[in-house]
Amino acid sequence: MSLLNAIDVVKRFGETTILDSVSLSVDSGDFLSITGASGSGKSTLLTILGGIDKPTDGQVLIDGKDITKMKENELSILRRTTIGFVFQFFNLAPYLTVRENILLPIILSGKSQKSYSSKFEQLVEYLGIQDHVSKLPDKLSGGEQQRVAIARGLIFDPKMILMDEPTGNLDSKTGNDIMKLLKDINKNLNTTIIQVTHSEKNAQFANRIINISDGKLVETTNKGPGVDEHTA
Amino acid sequence: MNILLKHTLRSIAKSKSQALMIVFTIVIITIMLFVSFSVSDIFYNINIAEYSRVAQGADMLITSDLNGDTFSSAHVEKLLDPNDNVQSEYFLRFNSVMKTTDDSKVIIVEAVDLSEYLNNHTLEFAERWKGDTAIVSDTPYIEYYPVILGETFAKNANISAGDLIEIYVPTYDMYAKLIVLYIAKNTGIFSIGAGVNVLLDFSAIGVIGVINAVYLKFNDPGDYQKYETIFKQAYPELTIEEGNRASYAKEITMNNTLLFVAGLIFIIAVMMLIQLTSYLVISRKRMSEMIIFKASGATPLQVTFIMLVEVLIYALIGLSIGLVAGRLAMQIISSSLLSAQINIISYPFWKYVLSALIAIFVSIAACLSPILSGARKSIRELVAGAQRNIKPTNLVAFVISTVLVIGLAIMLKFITGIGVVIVSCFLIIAAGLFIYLSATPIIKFLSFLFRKLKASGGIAISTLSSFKNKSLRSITILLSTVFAFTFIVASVIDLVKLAVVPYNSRFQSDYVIVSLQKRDVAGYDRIRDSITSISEIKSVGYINFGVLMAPDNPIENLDGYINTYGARDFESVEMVCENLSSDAKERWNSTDHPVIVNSELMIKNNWQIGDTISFLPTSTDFVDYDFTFLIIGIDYSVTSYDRVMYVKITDFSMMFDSTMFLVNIDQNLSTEDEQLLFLVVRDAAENAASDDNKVGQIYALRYDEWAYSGTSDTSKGVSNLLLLLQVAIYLISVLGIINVSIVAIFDRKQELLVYKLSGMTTKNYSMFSLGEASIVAITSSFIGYILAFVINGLLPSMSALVAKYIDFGIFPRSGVFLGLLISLAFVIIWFVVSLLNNKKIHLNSINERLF
Ligand SMILES: Nc1ncnc2c1ncn2[C@@H]1O[C@H](COP(=O)(O)OP(=O)(O)OP(=O)(O)O)[C@@H](O)[C@H]1O
Ligand SMILES: [Mg+2]
Repeated sequence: MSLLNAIDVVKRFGETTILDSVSLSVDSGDFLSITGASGSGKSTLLTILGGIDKPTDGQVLIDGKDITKMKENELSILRRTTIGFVFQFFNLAPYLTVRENILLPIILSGKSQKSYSSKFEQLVEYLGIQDHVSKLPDKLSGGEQQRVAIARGLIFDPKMILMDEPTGNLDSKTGNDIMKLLKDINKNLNTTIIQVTHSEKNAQFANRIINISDGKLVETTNKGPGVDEHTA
Repeated sequence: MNILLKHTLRSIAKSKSQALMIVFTIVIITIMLFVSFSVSDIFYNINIAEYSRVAQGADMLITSDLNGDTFSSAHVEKLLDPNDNVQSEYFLRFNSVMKTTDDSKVIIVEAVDLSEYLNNHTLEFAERWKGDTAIVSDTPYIEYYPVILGETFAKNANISAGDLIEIYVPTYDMYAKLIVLYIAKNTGIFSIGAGVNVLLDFSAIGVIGVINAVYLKFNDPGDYQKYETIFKQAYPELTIEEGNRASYAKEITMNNTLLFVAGLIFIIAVMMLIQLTSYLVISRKRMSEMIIFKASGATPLQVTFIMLVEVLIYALIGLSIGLVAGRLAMQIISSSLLSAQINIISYPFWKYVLSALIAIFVSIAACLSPILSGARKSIRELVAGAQRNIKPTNLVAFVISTVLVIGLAIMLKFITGIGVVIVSCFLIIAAGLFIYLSATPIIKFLSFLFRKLKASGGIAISTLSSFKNKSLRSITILLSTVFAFTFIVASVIDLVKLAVVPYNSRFQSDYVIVSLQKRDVAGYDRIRDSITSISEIKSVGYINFGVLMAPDNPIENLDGYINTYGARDFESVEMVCENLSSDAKERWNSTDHPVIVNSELMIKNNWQIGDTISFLPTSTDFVDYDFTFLIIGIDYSVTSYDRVMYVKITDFSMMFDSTMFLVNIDQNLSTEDEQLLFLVVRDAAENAASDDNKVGQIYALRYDEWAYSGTSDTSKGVSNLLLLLQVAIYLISVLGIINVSIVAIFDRKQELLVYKLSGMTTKNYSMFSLGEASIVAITSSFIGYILAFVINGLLPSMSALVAKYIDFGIFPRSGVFLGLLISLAFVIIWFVVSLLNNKKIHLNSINERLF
């Protein structure tokens, strides 16, 4: 059974239909890119898949459970056990240090922070932010901030991470580094990744690419240069 | 329309609630300013009303101030030069008691030459006795002399024209029976609504030519000086002043106005804070515009100007409403406080203009800092958004300021004179520094404690973030300041209210029987026993009144006089003292010459229980007696005058002026039975006291009548107005806290989105808000309390304003109560606003950019 199953999802804002009965199935370990023109509905689809927004019609099943029917509190628990999020802007709580930001889902769930300390050390080293753990977010560069956000998304071993333009705010070199990192994470930790991007190049890091246009999804199986370059 | 103006209007429309808040504060500021420009007029008129009532425009008053001295009208007349054409009016005014068939009332008797008085002054009559047309005193038609009463008083006492009343005349120790000829409307000499004066002819009380007040009206104003000299020479012991006692009234007015202005400044300061916080939100929302303006080449000056136009729009709307509302408020205040004299207060153009100008100035001043900082920032800084983290506090400075504040406050207790002023100044500076520096370390320390208690969940997040959050620190500082300010205003206003608590309210009983005739203890006991024998009477005690002086006080020093009461027994003491300690009775009975002293005297003279004090008589007649007493207890009553002490009657029977019997009755009586009982007690007292045709210089009153009826409208009016101010300050403080909370909470959308994305549940969020609120509340009340403690050190100098000695204690207890109240209010407000905000924030707005 696939990890995530969207079935006949419809999203309308008033008269305009943004998603017109789309279906999508994501398996564990997939790395999926969603592309499309500006305003085509990429972010809308992603928020529906992550339970942030509700579809006008249709179902989204995660592990067989329909998240569109879930209460806000159940969704909160889903967010600190199953799905990690990384967005383009404002991913970090301004009044928490890097360490506190990364451990946020753990603190909120009431679990012992100690039992996550080795995981934490491992992650910050892996992401190259071990020197910044005591800083406040405003003292970090954009790339460092995104790595912290990714670390927070990974701290509780989520089944998947949803990202909306995670590198949209960064220069291409830093963006490229982050994309490589994501590819590694996908491979080594077997974390499912769904990212929205309008960059053709970044989309190529994934093994599946989905294009939205006129409210419909079109899948193009990827064997592009991004992967080759990376795996080479 | 100008494109910029259009833009500004649209932006105002976008931040409606904050814009409304700013307009509201400007309205309040304008009202307060407008009212305050007239408030000294109000106080002046309240104070002068009682005097001008009798003066009726006279230029000079020569009086013995009701102290019992009288002089001759014929002699005064002789001093007036006929060529000067001076108009003179003679009064014999004294406090007395009036009996009706079912009640007794305290009155002020004003005896004049009635026919002449009615010729010279037009009184409006509300009711007239139909039985006869005669007005003059000695017409053969009426059996009784006539008396005129004011409308309100007559209504309260249930008297109509034609009724017979009896007025006690001390000179003859008799009741004069009089007929109520007229009830006058509340104008002229009857113009104070709650007044208790009755107007009658000299002959009605059997005195001719004996007076204690004369009013003179000069043809030539320059004669004032001349006659002042003449009368000072002729009557050195009399008071000579302007007819309406204007200078005296001005002095009181000054004090009241100062107090009012202190409150006003606080209100304006809080209002400015509200404006500032509201404007912060608006300006943050407008930053995107500013970026565009700047990108199109606007200079900082131009950006400042654009933002100022917006503030000016708010100010214009606010002050227009405020001026109209202020004028209306004055109408209400003056008609409720000054009744007949509304037109005394004028509203010249300058009051409107000045209120408007100050309101504009204040609004711009409040909003200037966000405007300037926004205008000065580069586009890059604006886009990055304002990260508002706190720099670490200098712990050494914090410790030094703490030690300074506490040290200086304690120091204040022990120094006097000019040193007080100097230390107070240092203290205020140290306190300001302390508030600023202490907020973060205390929040940090509390967060640390909380985290020890709960290391996960919503509360844990609040303990991690709150000490880094600048807006939480601002709120903490605001809250502590509000706490301290409220404490100071409340304390000062309480002081003033104290100063108008009637002296007699210290005694507790249902009836009071006053006897002016000297008797021996057996004579008093006989009166007491005849009242005790009435079956509905629970207990009767009595005390003698006289005056002694504290040692080391020269006679001229009024401060040295002590109202001294000789109490018949300890039960009598218990009827007149508050909060006696439990062993007082035992010590009273076992000590030879005990004295119970009011706490004000104890503080003033620095006496302790167990001290032996030798007092001095006020008259040389008693120099041979020994007035040495051992202090065995403290009376904690507080009224307008508390230089009071109580000794055994046997130690004091040689010198006293009067005696009061305090009568307690069965509390379960019906109203009718109580009415009857009062008359029975009144008769019993008179019967037991009288011999021959004399009354025996005794009269009975119900307690409320005796304790409170002498209280003038003046003090009530002033204390009502101050009470109003006090309530306004509380309300506005709450409003300020609400607004700052709303602003701070609604300003943290991004922070909350991150929390939510990380899996924060509603319960987590509630605990988070509660954690933050508790940390801020505890910190603020701690800082606020320290400030209250400091202010407490300053209060004794303020109490000099009302000439009272009050022990404020090193640790103000009322401060604890106030702190709890403010903390609780804040926690509730913060929590509710947070929950409302939670509903407003949707996760799907995560992709919206702030700009
Ligand atoms: N709350 C909303 N109400 C109305 N319309 C909306 C709302 N949110 C999004 N839309 C519209 O839905 C469409 C899709 O929006 P979405 O944010 O998903 O686009 P996107 O593909 O992510 O674009 P971009 O690449 O610019 O981020 C847009 O036309 C947008 O205007
Ligand atoms: Mg998008």
